[in-house]
Amino acid sequence: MNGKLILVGSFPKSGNTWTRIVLERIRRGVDFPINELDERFQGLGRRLLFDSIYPVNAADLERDEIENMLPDMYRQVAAESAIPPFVKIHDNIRRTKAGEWLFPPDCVGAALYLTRHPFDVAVSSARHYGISLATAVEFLAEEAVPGMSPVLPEWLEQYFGTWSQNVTSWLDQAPYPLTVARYEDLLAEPVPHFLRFARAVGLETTAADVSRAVEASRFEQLQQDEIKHGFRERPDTSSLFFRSGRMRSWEGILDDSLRERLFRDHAEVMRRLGYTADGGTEPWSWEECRGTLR
Amino acid sequence: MREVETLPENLPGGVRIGPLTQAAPGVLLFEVPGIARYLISHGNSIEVAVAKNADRKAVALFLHNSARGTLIHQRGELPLNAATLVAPNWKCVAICAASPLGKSTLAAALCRAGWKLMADSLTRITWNETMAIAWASDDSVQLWRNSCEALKLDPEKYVRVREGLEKFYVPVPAATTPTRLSVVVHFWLGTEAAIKRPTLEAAMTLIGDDTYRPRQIDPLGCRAAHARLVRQVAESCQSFFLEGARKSSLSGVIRLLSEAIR
Repeated sequence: MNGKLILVGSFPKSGNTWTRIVLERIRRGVDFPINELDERFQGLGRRLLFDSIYPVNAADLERDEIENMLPDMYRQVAAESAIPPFVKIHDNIRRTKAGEWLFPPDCVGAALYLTRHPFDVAVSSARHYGISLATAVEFLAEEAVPGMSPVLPEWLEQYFGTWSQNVTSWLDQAPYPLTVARYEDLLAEPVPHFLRFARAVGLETTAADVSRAVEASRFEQLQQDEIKHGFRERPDTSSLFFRSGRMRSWEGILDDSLRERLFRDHAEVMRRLGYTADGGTEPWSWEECRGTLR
Repeated sequence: MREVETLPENLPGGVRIGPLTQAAPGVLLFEVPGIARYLISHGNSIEVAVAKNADRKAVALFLHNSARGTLIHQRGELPLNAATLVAPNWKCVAICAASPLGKSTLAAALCRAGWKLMADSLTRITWNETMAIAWASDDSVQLWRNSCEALKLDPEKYVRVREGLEKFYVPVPAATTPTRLSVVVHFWLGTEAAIKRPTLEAAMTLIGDDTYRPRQIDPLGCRAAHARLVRQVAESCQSFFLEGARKSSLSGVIRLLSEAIR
């Protein structure tokens, strides 16, 4: 995996950060601090990374020029990485306007993708971004196209697509060795699923090591770490990044109409992932799902 | 600076130091697709091969904001990612920050409060045996449309920095003569405006980090001169770490800054 990137993809608020913490603690030890997660690939970090690698500033470029230059930026980062970085991604899988994969397969060693029940994603998004539940439900259905804003944002734009588009782009189009897990399964049975993830990205580890990394990364522990040291990925709109992280966090919060709207918007993909209209999950495995890919 | 018909695809004896960029001791070649290729040599020459149908404003923009940074490196001088201004008390202040953090907006607001601009986004710093000198290069700041509007300026009155970009050259009062650099401020995130004094070592690290494209320094063969100048600037100037780039009000930042350099 040396000289390659390891992609960790998900729609926002689907367990991406927790997963990267556990993987780093499997790789580097259980004391790995939460604030040492590689932050070059998200938010302001991605813009600073672009400006450090290219001789020109993103602020002097048009949207399409930036997007067309991103694949070579990722190649450069991969080539300069002695240890393959875990790359947090919320973008859907797509090609640039120039026709190249945003993350070129030649610099990607492995890709992990996480899904989470959209009811919980909506509730977590509302808290994280400081928006209403109704707006959060809209957010999951928002098919925003990058480049609509008249100014370049502080971060370089990401294109999530809708929740369904994000999931299907990864499951159906990712041109990488891909391993998928549901957040709910990671919570219910963390050791076998993280062991699967670890092996997929080439980490030599044992169930005992994984168990220690998971135990050190329980949500209560991460909350304590955040309260004590702060957390660089926390947005200003949220008082805590690590809030609850539990399953069925929507109960008592999302009313019937919002749940119905979410199911109406995403029914096909929810069924594919074993997510039910009552907010629960059915047994599911990536191996079986992979056989159904279109 | 001269315009040429073509420039080589590969730099003789050069190494690739990033996408679209090759360097050899004293020489650097880079390309902006669809705009131009730039060959910067030995601190005294920039050759530009303009792409067919390229936007001339864009060619000039990358010459000023990028090729000039390399030229300054090659001269053994310091290209700081800084908006540099002369305060009403005549102290020359370099406000260093990464491109997205709003230093041009802050510079425009400071100019309304009686400061004079020397450089907008990239400042040439030299050493004259006794003090650090900042060189004037700009009489306008480059502001995005939303920054213009926040400052109650009508962007349509100003020249776009390049076609298709919602960014404009906004004229401001400017100083024109080289001036002794007194203060280096490192502007960073944070929700509340706050000012701190770094140690000398930390100030040197910050200046190094705020230098234009540190990755060019070793391949160009100018590490020793760079390190020497960073130390000289850190030792001869007051350094501050100013938080509040993201959320605090411009007036709050200006008040803190004015108090700090009093």
